[in-house]
Amino acid sequence: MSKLKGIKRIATRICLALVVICAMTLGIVGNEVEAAISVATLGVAADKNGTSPWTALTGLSISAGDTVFVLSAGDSDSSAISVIADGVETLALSKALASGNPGNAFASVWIGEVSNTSAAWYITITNTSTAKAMSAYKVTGIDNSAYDRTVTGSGSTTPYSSDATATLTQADELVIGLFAVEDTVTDMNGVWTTGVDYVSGNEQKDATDGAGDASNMTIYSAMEIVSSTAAQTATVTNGDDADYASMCLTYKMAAAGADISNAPAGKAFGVVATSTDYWSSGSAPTWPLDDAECYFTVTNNSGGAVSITIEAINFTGGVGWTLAGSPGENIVTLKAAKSGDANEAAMVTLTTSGQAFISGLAGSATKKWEVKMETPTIFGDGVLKESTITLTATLD
Amino acid sequence: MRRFIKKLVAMVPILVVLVLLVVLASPVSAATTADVAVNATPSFVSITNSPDNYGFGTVVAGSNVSTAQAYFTMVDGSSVNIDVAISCNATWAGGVTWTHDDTGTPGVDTAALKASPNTGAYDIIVKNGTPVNLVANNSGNVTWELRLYAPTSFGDGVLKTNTVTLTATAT
Repeated sequence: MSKLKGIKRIATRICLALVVICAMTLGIVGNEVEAAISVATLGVAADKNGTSPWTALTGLSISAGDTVFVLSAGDSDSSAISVIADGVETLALSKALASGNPGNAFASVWIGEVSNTSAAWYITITNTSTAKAMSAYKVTGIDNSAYDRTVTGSGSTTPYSSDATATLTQADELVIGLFAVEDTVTDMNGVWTTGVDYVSGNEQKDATDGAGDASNMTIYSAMEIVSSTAAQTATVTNGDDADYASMCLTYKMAAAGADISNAPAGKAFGVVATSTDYWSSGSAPTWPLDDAECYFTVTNNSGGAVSITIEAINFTGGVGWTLAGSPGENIVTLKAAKSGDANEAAMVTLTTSGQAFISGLAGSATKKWEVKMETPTIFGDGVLKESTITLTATLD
Repeated sequence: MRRFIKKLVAMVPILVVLVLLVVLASPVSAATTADVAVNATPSFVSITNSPDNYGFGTVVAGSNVSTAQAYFTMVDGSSVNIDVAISCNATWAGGVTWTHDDTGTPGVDTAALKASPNTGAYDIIVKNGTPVNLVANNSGNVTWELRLYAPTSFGDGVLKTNTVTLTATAT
């Protein structure tokens, strides 16, 4: 009896474990779908030796395509910031925005997109300030060509604030908050205000130490991915009264690109004779071409309409076949038609360059299409020939 | 025990729904391009034969002489099955020429040829007219042999030559 109870208990636990695993998996997958923008902190550093250029962070792992943000705080503004992977790439960042409290503190945000992947990136900052601090982030999924909203501010008392930006242009944006505070590490007790109207999260802070408060520099930075257009403010409470420069700026999430799929994935024409026409659907159509006479279906999975170009590569395998407008010895002609085309003259003769094929295909819409192959007049051998036709979509 | 089974049964729909949700939530990667693989196999017919000649030597009138069985090899380089027909010229050249007989029957200054595909039967008449299949719907190399039926009488003793041709076509 007790054995039976034991088995029941184990079985129940297995079921519960399955439920938990399913729930966890669902959560992870759900996050992947939603996270169009990603943010990761790269670290913070502070220097009170007036080092310039200053190698602030080393051993950073950054991938090709990542946007790197370096946030700078100092008695004066930085004049240059680079991210470097020796022998791989040296990227001079651009200053996106600066905020000054002259004679006291300067804050600035620097941005750049790396083209290479390395685990040995380091950051150098040219800034002659005796006391300075920095933080760094890597971000994906934003339109880093220009910021959307900005606001800068300055003050000398707590709470530190940037004031509010204008309402954001779109719902999905990256918000950055930055403070350069003329204060020491022992007073680095600031707390970011949270809420839909305030930037917080991914917070980093660091400060110099020693001598009077005003001879030091503290940096507070935060980055948040928001999903509303609410105006944003950077606010840090619980700090000491101190001179500060502040800013809040936003970047739009990158626009989703075109997204298409096609089925079936290929067509095997089988054994073919010389100087013969073959159609992917199996037989020559009547014109105008209708859906039932088409073998392929392209689907626009994008949110908006797309235009699609078509191209192919020369056939490979043994003595290859070259694409051309009319067949010849080891020369093949591929043509494509879409449903609705009036006649064969309207078909696109495929080349190795993209040519307009389908225009204005609405979001979620499909289009049927067909391929004609005109075989070479003479074959060089009997080896299987293979080519790839590529459809390329761009948002209208 | 009954209560336990009830609990298990109650959990099944929850599990099914969760599994379905996981499947439905799986990320689909966006693609600006779609590739279509296209392929075709050329109906390519190619044969070679080796050796490319045979000398029957001195022959006696009214006799027949043969190559060894499987003396010739037809190498098939085709991508499809083929029919291989055998034929020859109408005349054996040299001095008083021999007429080639398409019925396989020798006569005065009239010769005949028969062949077979490694059977030793020599049952295929090699004609000048309509070629006759040595093999049909074949895939791969073929060995074959040839037999000469010498004329019943000769006009001279000069060397006579003829050319046997194998012709392949896709089956």
